[in-house]
Amino acid sequence: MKIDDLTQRTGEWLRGDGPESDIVISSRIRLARNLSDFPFIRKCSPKQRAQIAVSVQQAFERSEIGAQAEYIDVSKLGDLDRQFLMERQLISHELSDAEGTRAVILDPNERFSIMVNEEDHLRLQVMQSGFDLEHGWSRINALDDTLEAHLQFAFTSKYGYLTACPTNVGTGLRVSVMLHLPALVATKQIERVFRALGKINVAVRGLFGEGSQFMGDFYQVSNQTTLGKSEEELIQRVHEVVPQLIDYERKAREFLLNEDRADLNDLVSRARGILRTAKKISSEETMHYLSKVRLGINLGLIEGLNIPTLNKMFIHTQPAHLQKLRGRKLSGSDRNTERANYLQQHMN
Amino acid sequence: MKCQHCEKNAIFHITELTDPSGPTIIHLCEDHARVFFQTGESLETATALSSLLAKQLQLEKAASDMAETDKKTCPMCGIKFSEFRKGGRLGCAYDYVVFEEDLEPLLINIHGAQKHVGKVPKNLGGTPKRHFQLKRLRSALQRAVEAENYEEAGELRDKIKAVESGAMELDDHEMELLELEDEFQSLPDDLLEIDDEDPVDEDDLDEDDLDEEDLDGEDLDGDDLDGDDLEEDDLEEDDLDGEDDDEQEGGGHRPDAPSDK
Repeated sequence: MKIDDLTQRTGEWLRGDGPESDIVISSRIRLARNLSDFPFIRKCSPKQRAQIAVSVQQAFERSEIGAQAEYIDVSKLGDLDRQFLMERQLISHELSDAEGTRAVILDPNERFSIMVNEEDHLRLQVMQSGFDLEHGWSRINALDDTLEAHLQFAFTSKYGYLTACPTNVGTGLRVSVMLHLPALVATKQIERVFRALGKINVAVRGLFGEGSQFMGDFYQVSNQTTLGKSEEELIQRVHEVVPQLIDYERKAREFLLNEDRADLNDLVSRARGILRTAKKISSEETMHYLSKVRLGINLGLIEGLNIPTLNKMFIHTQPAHLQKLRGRKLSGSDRNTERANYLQQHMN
Repeated sequence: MKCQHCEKNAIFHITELTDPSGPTIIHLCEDHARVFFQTGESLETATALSSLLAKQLQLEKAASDMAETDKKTCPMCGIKFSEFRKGGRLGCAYDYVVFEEDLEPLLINIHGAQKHVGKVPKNLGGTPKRHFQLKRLRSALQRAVEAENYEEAGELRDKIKAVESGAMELDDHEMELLELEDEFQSLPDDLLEIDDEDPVDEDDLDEDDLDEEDLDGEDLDGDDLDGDDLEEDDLEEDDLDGEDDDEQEGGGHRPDAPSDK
């Protein structure tokens, strides 16, 4: 598998189907694991980082997933490839920017990835389109078992799986569900909803932005704690919150349709118009308007476009994807022009 | 100024750049700031959270206690507690054992719990304590082999196997002995291996322990390296304590000083 082969596809999590996919973009679960034979990353020598990578690679090759996935040495990838994998959420910012030996094991269908030498020695993640945590857990649990048969993880009965940051200790589990909540944003209800969520120990953050800058009405809901509750309980907690959010968002959408239909139509049509006609456009602005168009499609206000096509636009207009598609490096300004060209071609 | 969410004084004044309508300033008390920072899992947030909580720990402790805690060092990875407080990341799994009493309040703050519930790996050999014991045993083995002390080396190998398989665990006393040996080993002019509770006996002072290069000529003749040449003064505990090197006299026993020759 070449990284470039992924360019033409959108990957599992942007496929645009699965339960509640008009509101839930994707469901994701990750596990943090450390090999017991080595110090955590911050105290690893370059040699130890290399040894960790070798141990993991050998374990992976001997395991059942050895035949289906691919081990990629991230330290040998160029900037563009690293950013590309980051835009697809297959690797993290931290792994991309780190120095020294690091890797990712990649499922060609992008249903799982395993980062090596990130903040912890191993970060396993599974992702799927739509709202489906149950399958996610059984898949990542099996993936963990597969690796565990060949590797020894740092674990104590008291603190569970030991992690570099105490915020992940115990299960090492983070479950996150990415939601598209444009109507709650438009009706200015979103803050109230988040305040309520804070009280039940669920974290919310915006998506896609640098750091935590919210962009395009996408939000991620995840568990805050990892110790003292079982994986199933932690997942259950998020599982219970998400339907409420979906319900709020549906009601807000209904409200907009009934009370503000003309305004809503205007918002959606303008967004489509700008994306169709702009001659230069940044990725932030693109995200912002694609979000409104997505809402329009889901509410039946826009003809001739579907969610999978739109999802493809989301990912293809990201900086590294755009450059991959054009086959060359582009400056920021050139990217804005190319992005506008791309949108003109695909937005009709 | 009061906290936005309660009547307490606001200690944290946070400029939030994440609101789509522009920057907003949030004033929060410590408790609400903690809730505020407990979001997401980005590097920045996790670090902020750990260091915020670590700062809180500091507030709860007297400055002198904190200074003591800060000095605590993990013998496995060498990280100091102060380094963890600054960076929010631990150095190795054994830190959870070494810093346990300091980490516990932090874990309760973060998770509201202090005991794992959930998946248990089938392979339970990965406990940090066991790895630490193996580390000590392996360096003892290396020493024994270097000293051509094959009988001891054989015993150590058996112990290593037993600990690796989970059949045995070293008790605290055995670990203390190994630790002492390890510390002596790190002294460049390490002369002696003695148990500080037992009077020195001649077995501790055989030739293997006395490396000619390390010896101070005033105390010992190179030709005659038996215990008789060592005076009692040379065997005081102070001389074997790596922290008191400044107070020691003479070159031969200074733990951190380079060899005189």
